[in-house]
Amino acid sequence: MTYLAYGLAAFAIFTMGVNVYLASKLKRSIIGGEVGEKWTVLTILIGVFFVAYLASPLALWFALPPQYLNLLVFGVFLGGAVFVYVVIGILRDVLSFLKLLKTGR
Amino acid sequence: MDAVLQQLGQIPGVVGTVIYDREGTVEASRFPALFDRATLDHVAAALAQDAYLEEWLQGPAACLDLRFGEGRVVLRGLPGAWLLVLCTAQVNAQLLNLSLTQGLRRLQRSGVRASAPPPAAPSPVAPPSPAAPPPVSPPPAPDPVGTMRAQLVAIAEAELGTFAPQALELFERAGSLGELASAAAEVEQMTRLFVSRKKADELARQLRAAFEKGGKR
Repeated sequence: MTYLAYGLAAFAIFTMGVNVYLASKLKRSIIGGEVGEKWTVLTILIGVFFVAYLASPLALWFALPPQYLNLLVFGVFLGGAVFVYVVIGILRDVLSFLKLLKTGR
Repeated sequence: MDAVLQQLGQIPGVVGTVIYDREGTVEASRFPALFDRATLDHVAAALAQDAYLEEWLQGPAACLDLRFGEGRVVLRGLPGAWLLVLCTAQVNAQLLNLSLTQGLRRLQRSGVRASAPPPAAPSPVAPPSPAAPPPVSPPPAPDPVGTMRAQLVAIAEAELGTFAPQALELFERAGSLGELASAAAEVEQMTRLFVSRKKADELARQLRAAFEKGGKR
């Protein structure tokens, strides 16, 4: 079971590493504006997640007490929730600009 | 015809425009007084007689763009005629091409013919005087939509730089003043979302001023 956890952590770290690269590359291409600002927030969050993902196997290795482990886990959940909120905002802005949203909620 | 030339003349960098037919007769022109009628007639006759030019400029889609140190001459084909635009070297090529495309479309729709003799039919404006270079034909009603579009395009071009083609596309699709206003709002939104809030505010201010100025005329 522990090995499964390490395996999942490794896969998550690799995926998040790719995300960091892609997000930074896209950030360089975006000129600015409101979407650019939101993308900056997302890039920072991705960086924070990457650090947290890097730390996660260490939490297992050093058998971090559950109260601290829970704090780490729920902190990442909170960051994830903020991430999703910002992504929804970007999508809404872009779809609204492209007039692809239904009118009258 | 005159409305199209007037609209082209408003593009920054355009010095003058002339339409001439296969016989070298000037059908319409908009040039500063420095270029007198005799000069334009001479130029039109020389160009019409040039066999190479006639061969290169076959058909309504023909185009010739000549660049010099201090200026630029653009020639475009019309049915049985050609449109010549004299510009400075600083003219915005993209804006000019867009305006030429629109103008040529309008000229072709209104049926530009080579046969109409240009010189002064009795004009409501003024009897032609031998010394002055008068306009060739009585000016038809100006095209408010085209004029407004040219102004908005110039503003977008000046403010947006690399994003200007997207804005020009939005303005190009607008066929009425109301649609131009919607297009202006879209351009502002696009700028706010993808370029910069500050630039969007400045752009909105300038576009609004252009509409207010246009409305007062």
